Amino acid sequence: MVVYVRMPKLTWTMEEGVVGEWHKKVGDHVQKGDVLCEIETEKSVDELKAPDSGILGKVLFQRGSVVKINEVIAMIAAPGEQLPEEVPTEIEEKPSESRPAEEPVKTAEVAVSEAEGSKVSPVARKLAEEHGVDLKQIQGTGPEGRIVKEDVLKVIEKAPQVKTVPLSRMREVIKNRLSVSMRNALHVPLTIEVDMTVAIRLIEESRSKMEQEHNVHATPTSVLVKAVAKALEVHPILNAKFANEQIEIPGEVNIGVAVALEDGLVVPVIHNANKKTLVQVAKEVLSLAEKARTEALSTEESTGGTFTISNLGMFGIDLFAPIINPPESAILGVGRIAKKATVTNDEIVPRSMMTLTLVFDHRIMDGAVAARFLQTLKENLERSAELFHG
Amino acid sequence: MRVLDFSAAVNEALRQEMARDENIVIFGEDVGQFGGLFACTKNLQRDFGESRVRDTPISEGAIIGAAVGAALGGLRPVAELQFIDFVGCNGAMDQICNQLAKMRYMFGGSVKVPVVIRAPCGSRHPIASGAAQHSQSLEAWFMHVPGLKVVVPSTPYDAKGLLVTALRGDDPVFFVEHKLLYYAQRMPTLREKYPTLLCDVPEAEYAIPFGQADIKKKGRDVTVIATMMMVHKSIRASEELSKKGIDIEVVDPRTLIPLDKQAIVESVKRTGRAVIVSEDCRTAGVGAEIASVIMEEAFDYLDAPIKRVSALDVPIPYSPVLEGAAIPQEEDIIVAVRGIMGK
Repeated sequence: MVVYVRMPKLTWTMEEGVVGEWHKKVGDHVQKGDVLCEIETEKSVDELKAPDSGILGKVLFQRGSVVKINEVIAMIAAPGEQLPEEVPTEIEEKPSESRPAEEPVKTAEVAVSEAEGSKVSPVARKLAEEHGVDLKQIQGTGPEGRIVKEDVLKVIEKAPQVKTVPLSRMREVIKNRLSVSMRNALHVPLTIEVDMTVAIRLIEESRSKMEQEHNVHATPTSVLVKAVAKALEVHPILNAKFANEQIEIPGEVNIGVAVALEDGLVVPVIHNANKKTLVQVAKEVLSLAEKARTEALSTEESTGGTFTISNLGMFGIDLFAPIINPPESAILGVGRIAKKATVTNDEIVPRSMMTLTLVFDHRIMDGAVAARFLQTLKENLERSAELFHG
Repeated sequence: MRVLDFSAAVNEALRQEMARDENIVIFGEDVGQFGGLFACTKNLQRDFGESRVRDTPISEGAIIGAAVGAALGGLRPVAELQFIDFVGCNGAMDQICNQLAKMRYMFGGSVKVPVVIRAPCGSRHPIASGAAQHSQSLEAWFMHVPGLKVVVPSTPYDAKGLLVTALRGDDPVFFVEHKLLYYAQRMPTLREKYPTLLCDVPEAEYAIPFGQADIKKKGRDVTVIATMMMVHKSIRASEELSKKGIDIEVVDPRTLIPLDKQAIVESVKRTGRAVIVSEDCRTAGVGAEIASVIMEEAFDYLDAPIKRVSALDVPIPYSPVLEGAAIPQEEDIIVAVRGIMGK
């Protein structure tokens, strides 16, 4: 009787297999249990054993053929037996006879757990959850193919580490204030170059005397504060604030000087900067900066500003347009002081130049007004001798 | 090192406490004149007198019952059962479970019943064979009786310190002594095989609190919780396991009630794996309780299923070879550990 060798179903989900290498060829005597050929599935390579003894009469599929499960791939006959040309149709529909003995049972057991999902240890599962690791992608190395902690750790280590940083209180505050500012104020930047040569010279010249008498020396920042304060006296709209749909022009000039902290920024305020001497301003700039860095600013020292100066020159920035500090109407961005080639009387002369960027709120004022303020400021800085006296 | 046998350590604890507190008395079969079947009460009758160390009739119910009565009358009795297997005889179970364990509760705290029951347990394989009725480990029975404390020392040092705590406390204590532990000093083959059976026992008084486990060997890969003789088998197994690159931690609970859950859970949190080794038979044994505790309190830290190594669910066989096969041996511990390690 002809024995039909069929493509076995090796796992629950298997629908077809690939015929691998044939270990026997047509005409060979085979014993029951001999390996006839290899069967390749997605997961493994198995051996297809002869379900009975006889002569391998026909091989219907060669190596590499993809065959559906249960389809006849070979026929074994008794010596001298005639083999049909094709597989009779009634045989096609009847499987069962040539099931390779042990394999399906064992692999089916394994397949059941695969169908249900591989075993995962509790700690591995917890780790995977915490780090968003897909367990289905992991081949477990624990006993019984269990996914263990080590397996998940390997995946986590390979994955790019995303670091999440929660927002600090300061960051939150800055985020909110500046968002409000950008949403409401109409930011327009104006840029002007200022010749700081004279100012710098005066700072140097006054240094030793000031140190001796007042224990402080002038800096570009303190000179800037004084110059801005004076200019605001002349152009009060730049000192205004927009509140309750009204423009309020305060009676004092309180200049905020932005101080960078390790992971944030704070703006201490020099009150009545226009009424203070350069020495007083210089002292206050120093002490406020120190307090800012040690988080020791009082409420008074950090509120009530009417205009803000922000300086990134120490970081080599040439120019930048900061965001207005609400509810103020403008902010000044200060770049670095650098020797640049400038033209005076058609000659190229090196001068210490500084670029200022004024960002004003177009709801409150127009460009010409803002530009005039900058002109005044530039004058104040370029003729800064007056600042040094009183 | 001042090396004492387990029985000598028990003897010393009894002696020191009896000298300190005249209310401590001892009842039991062969405890007085003979000095105890396993020499635990040797010379105590000679030194403290017949009224304090009493030989009783062969009636476990009478031994425990008299101890309960004496305790209610103000004494602090130590009642010895010659073998834990005899705890079921003559109404002793009623005396222990219904009277001793419950009287303080039932009388609204108006009495205390400070009885310490001492009972030898376990198989003496390979030194001797006790078969079905002289080799059992029944400590799990008494874990299940609220009102009793259950103490299971594994070394002479632990035995002395724990017995002192038992004698000084006012609660009923079931003090279990594994027979094989008695023999260490007298049996060279035994002490060579298990050097951890012997240890330094200070002569000075000391007490070991209940509910405090002892890590007998620190390790990294698997927490092996073991009691009494199994502590020594686990340590011996650890040598074989370390050759396979597996480093086990051996945790000795020392008392089952109260159980040092914290120490056990902390250890399992570190290793991620637990194997419980006890000589009682598997079903509803010591391992079942401890495994449940670990599952409840350290589930998220487990990297492998919890395994129990215990005796087979059979009466201990008569044939010495089968007795050895029925109880846990180093091989069983090694197989269990390697099984969950996968190597």
